[in-house]
Amino acid sequence: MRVQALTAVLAAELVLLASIGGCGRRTTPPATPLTPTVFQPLRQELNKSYAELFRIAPTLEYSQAQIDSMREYLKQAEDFCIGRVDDRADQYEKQLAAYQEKLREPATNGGRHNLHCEIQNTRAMMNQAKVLAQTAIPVSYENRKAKLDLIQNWPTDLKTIKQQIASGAYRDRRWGNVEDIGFREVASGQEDDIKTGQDAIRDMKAAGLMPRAIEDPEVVNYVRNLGARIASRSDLQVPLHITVLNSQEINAFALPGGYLFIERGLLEAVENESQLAGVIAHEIAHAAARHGHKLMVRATISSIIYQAAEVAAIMLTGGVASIGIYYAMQYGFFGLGLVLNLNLLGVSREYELEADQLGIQYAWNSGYDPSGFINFFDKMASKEGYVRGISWFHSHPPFYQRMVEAQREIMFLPARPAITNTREFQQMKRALARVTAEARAEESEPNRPSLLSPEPGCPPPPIISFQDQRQVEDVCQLNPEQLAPRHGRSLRAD
Amino acid sequence: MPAKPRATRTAARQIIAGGLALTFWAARVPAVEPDAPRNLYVSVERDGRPVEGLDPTNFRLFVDGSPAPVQLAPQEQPAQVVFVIENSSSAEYYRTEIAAAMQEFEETAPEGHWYALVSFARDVEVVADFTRRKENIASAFDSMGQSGWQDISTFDAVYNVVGKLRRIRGRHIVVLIGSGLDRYSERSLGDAEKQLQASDVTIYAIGTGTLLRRQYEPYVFPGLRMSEMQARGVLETLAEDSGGKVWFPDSASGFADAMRGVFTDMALQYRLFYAGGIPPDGKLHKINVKIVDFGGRAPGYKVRARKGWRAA
Ligand SMILES: [Zn+2]
Repeated sequence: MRVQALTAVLAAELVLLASIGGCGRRTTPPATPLTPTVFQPLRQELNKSYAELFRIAPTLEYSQAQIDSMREYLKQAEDFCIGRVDDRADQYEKQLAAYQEKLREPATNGGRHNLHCEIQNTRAMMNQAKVLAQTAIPVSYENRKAKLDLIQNWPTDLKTIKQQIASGAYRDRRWGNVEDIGFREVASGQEDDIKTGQDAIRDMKAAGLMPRAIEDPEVVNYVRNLGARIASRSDLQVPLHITVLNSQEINAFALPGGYLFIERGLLEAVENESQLAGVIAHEIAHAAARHGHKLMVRATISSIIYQAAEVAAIMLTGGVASIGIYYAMQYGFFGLGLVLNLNLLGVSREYELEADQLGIQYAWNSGYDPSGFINFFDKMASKEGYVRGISWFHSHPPFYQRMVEAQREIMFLPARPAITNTREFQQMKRALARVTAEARAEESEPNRPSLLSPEPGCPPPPIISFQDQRQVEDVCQLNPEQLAPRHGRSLRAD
Repeated sequence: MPAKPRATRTAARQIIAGGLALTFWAARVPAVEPDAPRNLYVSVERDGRPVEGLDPTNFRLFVDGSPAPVQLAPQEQPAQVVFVIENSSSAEYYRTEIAAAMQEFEETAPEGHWYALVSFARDVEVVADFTRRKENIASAFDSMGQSGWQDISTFDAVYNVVGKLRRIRGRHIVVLIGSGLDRYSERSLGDAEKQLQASDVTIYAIGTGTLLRRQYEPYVFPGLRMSEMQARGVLETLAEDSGGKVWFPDSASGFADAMRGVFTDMALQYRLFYAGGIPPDGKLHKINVKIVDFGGRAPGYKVRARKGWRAA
């Protein structure tokens, strides 16, 4: 496998990867459990896409024992990987303590300012390492384990599905009446959610949680047209309002009442129109099925947003107001999804599976390749941007169940010619490139002043992120010399 | 959603603000070293018109009444301009007029500066952090929700924003748009003034009081006339302290004119550079700038400069 550079960065003096301390986790990489002739190919299988694995799993010949040892190996590897990143977080914490010790010494105002900058930026990196250890790495391993489950179980599941198709039993599944999309009632009273959605938007703005909207007409019109097309072929009965937000996060979310938010990072990450259609259809399904409303029987939207904001503050700052959430969002460490902890806005295991199913139906009914959803899910979970897009997977159902149920729904749908990509999509991408370039130029401007920074006048904190295509395991195997600063400069304030 | 009891809402809001750190942190260190050289931005007018083209020999600086050496330097670029806009429930009456000022800003203000937007009612919130793109500020203003608070914390807003700017290098401008009323601040006007005197921030104020009184007097609470006069005085004090300027427009076009006036004045200011130290004794050291021409006289020149410096 090609060794790719890690874009992340860490100031040189803080990269102490070589020394590994213990906190109950593995301190050495697990030994490979199988003979190389079995282990290597099986490991390669886990890097394949879900689409490919659905196709080839019935032809693969791994024994139960082999798969079990691989599963055990993945568990240990995850443990090791999390341990390494935890260690890195610990090292930042020690560094932090050292800086704080220095605060006691007499210093000039300038020296003190530099010290505050060091503390602020070290805290930012420590928090990023924690999110990596607590969320990003588990998601990545979960995805691998799901693929292992797929190799093991799909052949049997496939037989059942084929039987259901042959016997016609599949027509009796929940929401099996796809010819009635738009006429059946998925959830009554959708219009009652409009007010709730408007209140939510107002409260999010008041709490400073709503990123700026993108106004570029080419981008906005494209996304709105796509959304309108899918909505008109869905069970949504209220008008759809789509806002495109100028934030780096790879995410989309629906507030009750047909208010859909697509973030810039998502538009950057999707490879074709069917993938975007899959995500938008999934969010429309949440609105059509009134999942937000059902989860809010007791709570008001204000209290949910308030609670989410509080949870986020504790989760991302370790309970200390070390670095503002808003500031973190501005610099792109974490996105709105993680901040809002989206499960509070309509994610439960049951509702998520329902939104997957209905979303796939709506994408299909709008003429798109319904596999776009699975393909994008895969790309997000296994490869690029899993830190920026991590909230997408937050407290979702197990990946294997999700992917298998999605694939089954696709197989149950009558086959028709399907769109994967369009010229309009390519045009949108070109317009988006301009928007992104402008936004990035400012996001990465080294001398950008900030009112939100606890200590103004510091260099921006380095962002721990990984280059596209990099696998999470590689991150844990890296040598210090493979690390390169992304901003091209050290942490030190001058 | 059913209306929430006010008390619950209040509590929630405070916790959100604290937990999220959306409000400002207390200033922890003074950024300007007591002995650091000082920038002094001054405006010079004669017969009500700005005077351009003066050279160093035309300026005389006096600190506490004694002549002090001074140099003339080019303006620092880019400037950092913060719009500090009152967003109380009474400010909603003249939202259109403020919008006209912000539109004027978007259309005519120079490119290249850093612009930020802060709103205040009870709490002080950063609506948009520094950006070079004027349209970002305009859209942030458009998306600014109504705070619903009657409470107004003008002093806190000035104190916090100036406190932040003191610690960032560069030229600092605050464009304060509001009534000048204060019903809630933790800080006093005196605290805000001290913060201002320790900084090099220039405050331009666009007062909304005239408009509020003229157009909406029948609807607003009694006692406003008295407090409006005081509020006017607050804005005048802040502008005078910092060598800025104040406007009290009474129409949308007046607001737009005032906004244009801010950027005209900013562009024509002279930057004087004083290399002497200000003793860190916490006292206000008075500044006086005089213009002399070749004959050593100063016929009819009016100089607007900050009142003094105070080292923390
Ligand atoms: Zn979902």
